[in-house]
Amino acid sequence: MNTPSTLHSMFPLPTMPTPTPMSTPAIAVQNLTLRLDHATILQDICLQVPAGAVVGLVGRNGAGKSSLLRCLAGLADPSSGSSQLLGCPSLYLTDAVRERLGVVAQTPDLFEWMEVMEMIKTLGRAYPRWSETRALALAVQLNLPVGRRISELSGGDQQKLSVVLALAHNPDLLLLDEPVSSLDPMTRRDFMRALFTSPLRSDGMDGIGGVDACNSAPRTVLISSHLLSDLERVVTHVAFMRDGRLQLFDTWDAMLENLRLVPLASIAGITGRTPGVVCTNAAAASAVVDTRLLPQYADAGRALSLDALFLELNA
Amino acid sequence: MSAALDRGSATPLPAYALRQWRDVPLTLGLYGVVAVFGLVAIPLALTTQPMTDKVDTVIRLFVALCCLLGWVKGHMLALSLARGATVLRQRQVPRCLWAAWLRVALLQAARAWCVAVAACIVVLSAPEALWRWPTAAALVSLLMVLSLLRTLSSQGLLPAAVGWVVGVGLVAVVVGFTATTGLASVLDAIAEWPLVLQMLGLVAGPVVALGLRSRWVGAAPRATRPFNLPLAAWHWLRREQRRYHALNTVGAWKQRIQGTGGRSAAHTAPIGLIMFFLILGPHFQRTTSNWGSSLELWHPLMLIWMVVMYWPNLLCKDLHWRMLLAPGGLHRGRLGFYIARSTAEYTVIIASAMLVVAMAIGYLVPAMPALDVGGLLQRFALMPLQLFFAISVATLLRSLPRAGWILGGVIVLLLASGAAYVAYQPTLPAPPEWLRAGPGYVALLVALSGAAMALSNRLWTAQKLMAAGASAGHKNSL
Repeated sequence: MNTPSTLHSMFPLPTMPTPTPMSTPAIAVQNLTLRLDHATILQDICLQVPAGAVVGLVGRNGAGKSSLLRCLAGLADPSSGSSQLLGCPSLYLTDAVRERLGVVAQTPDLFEWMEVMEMIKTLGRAYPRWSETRALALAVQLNLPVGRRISELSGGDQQKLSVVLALAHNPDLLLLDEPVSSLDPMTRRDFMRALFTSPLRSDGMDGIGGVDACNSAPRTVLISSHLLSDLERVVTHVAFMRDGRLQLFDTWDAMLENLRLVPLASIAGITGRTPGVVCTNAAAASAVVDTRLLPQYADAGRALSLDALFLELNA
Repeated sequence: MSAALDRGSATPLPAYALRQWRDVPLTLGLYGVVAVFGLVAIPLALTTQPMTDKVDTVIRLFVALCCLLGWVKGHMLALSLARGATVLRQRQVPRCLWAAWLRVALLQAARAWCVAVAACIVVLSAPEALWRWPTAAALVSLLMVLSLLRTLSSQGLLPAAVGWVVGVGLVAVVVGFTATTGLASVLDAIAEWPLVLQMLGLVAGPVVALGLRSRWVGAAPRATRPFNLPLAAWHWLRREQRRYHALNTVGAWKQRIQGTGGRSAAHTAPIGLIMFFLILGPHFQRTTSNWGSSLELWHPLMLIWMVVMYWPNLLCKDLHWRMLLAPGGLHRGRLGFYIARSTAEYTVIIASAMLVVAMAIGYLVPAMPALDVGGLLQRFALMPLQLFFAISVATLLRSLPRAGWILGGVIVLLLASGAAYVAYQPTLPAPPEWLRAGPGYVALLVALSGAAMALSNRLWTAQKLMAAGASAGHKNSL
C-alpha cells in the first residue's frame, strides 16, 4: 500500500507547507455580507485573526456563526466582501493552503459506507503531512472504534471521526463549527487536549498554546461553540456575533481586564451610543463598559466571565 | 495547475473508496448479465421454436437487461460523484483527491460501458439478428448517459432543467411507445435511425464522461439544492406515512424473534393493507353489488374476512406519549373512533394510490383493459361503508380482553362457514328478497358501525393504546 510519503514522491504537488509570516493574519475578512433568500445572514463582517490565535466564536442560535465559518472555508459565496485564509482567497483555496487547513462542520459529512480506518486512509492520501499513526493515536485518545462502519457510528462518534480527520495532518489552521456539541464531557476534555497537543510529535514536545513544534508554525484555531466554560479555558481571542454582525472581537485577556459590568445609575449622562459603552441592559439596569475608553470606570462594578459577558451582550 | 491536477489524478484510490452500494445486490453489475443471459439462453435453445424466434427473444431479453443495468450504472456513477463532491468539498481537501475520485468513478463507468457495448455488439452480430450491430449498444449507452445526467441534476450537480428535460422526455417516450406499438419496439425504432445517428448514440457515453472530466477535474463541483417537485412530493408522502403507527402484532413477533427492539414497525401497515387490497381485488364483485341488487350469502362471510384482515392493520395517527400528555391529545374518551379514523384515512390513501396505479397500467399497457372508473364507482359505492364497518368491528374486537383468542375464534368461524358455504352452496336457497344493497342495508351498516364505535370508545384506554403501540415496536415514541 502506498503511504502518503511515497504518494507525494510520485507527483510534485506542493509538499512542504509554507509557514504564514507572522505579519500576515491567518484569517482576514473584509466587509463580508451574505444574503440568502432575501434575508441578510451576515452583514459587513470585518475580522483579522493573527496567526497562532485561538478564537472562540460565540453567539446565539442563528447569529450567523456557521454561515461565517462556511464563508471562511469557501463553502458559501458571500454576496459582497471577501475573506482570506493564510493569505489565500477562501473561494480559490490553493492546494498548498488546503494541505494546511482542517475543517470540522457542525454535521459531519462522511463516506458512510466506509469503515473508520478506510475513511482515514482515503483522506490521508491527499495530505503530505498526514500521519496514519497520529490519526490512530487521536482515535484512541478520543475512544473512537476504528473497525466499525461509519453508518453504524453514533452521532458523537461521527463527530469524533470528523475531528480526527481534521487534525491528522497537523493543520496550521483549524475551522471548527461546534465540534464538541455531540461529545460527552470526558471526550470534550480529550478533544480540547488534542487540539493543542499532537499525540506523537517528532520532537517529543507538546504544542500547548497553539504552537506547533513540528514546523514551528503557530496553529490558528477558530472554534464556534455554546460551551462557554470549555472555550474560556483555551481561547486567546473571543468574537461575539449577534444578528449576523460581529458584535465584539478582542483578546480574551483584554476583555477580562478592561470590560466591566457597571450599574446604569453610576454612569448617568452616558448613553448606549457613547464610545466605550459596549452594551446596555435596561432590564437589569446595567451596562458593559470598556475602561480603555472610559477609564473613570476602571474600578467600578465588576469584571465579567465569558458566560456573564455573553448574557449581557445578548440581553 | 491543470498539469499538477492531472498528475494528482494518478493518486491511487483504494477499491473500497467508491463501493457505495456494496451491500446492494445490484453490485453484481453487468457481469451478472452474462450469467442471466446463460440462464435465459440455455432453456430457450432447448425449446422447439424456430431459430430466428429464439434468437430474437434472447436478444430482446439480453438488451432489456443491459438497458436496466446501464441505467443503474449511470445512476450509481452519479451518486458516487455527488457524494464524493459533497464530502471532499466540505472538508476542503487538496484537489488531487477529488481528481482521483473523478478518475476512478469514470473509469469504473467506462469499464461497465465497454462490457455492455461489447456484449450488445457481439449479440447483434449473430446472423439471425434483426438489427444492425450498433443498435442495442446505442440504446444502452444513451440510457446510461440519460440516467447519469438525471441523477446528477437531482443531486444538484447539474441544472435542474437538465433533470426535467431528461425525465419528461423519457416518460413521453415510454408512454408513447407503450400506448402505440409497445415498449419493446423502442429497439425497432432505433434500428431505423441512420447509422451515423446510432454511432452518435453509441459514443454519447464516452463524450459525456470526457465532458464531465474536463469540467470538474479542477475542483469538486458545488451541489446546489434545487426544488425538486417529485422528490418533495415523495418526502411529503413519507413524512405523512410515518405519522401512522401500526398497532399490529406482527411487529411484536418480529421484535421477539429478531431482537429488533425500538425499530418502527409502521412499514408493516402499508404492506398489510396493500396485500389486503390485492387479495380483495378479485373478490370485489362478491363483496358488493350495484345499488338495489340482492346480496348473496357469501357477502357476510366477506365482511367477516375483512374484519380479520383489518385486525393486524389497525393504525393510530401521531401516536406519541407527548400527545397523550397534551390536554385533549389523541382524543381521549374517543380513542376507538380515533383509531378507526386513522385506519380509514390510511386506507383511503392506499386505495387511491392503488387505483391510480391500476389506471396507469390499464392506460399504458395495451394488452390490459383500461379501468372503467365510472363503472367501478357505481359498483363499489357501498364499499367505503363496508370498509368502515370492518374497521369499526376490528377496533372493537382488538379492545376486548383476550383479543388474540377472539381473533382465533373468528378465524375458525370464518373457515368453518366458508367450508360449509362451499360444501352446501348448490343446496342453499336463493337469498331472501329483503336482503338487498339498499337503504336498509346502509342503515344496518351505519348502526352496527356506530355501536361498535361507541363500545370501543369505552373500551380503548390510553394504557391499552400505549401497550399496543409498544408491542408494535414503538419504544421510541412511547
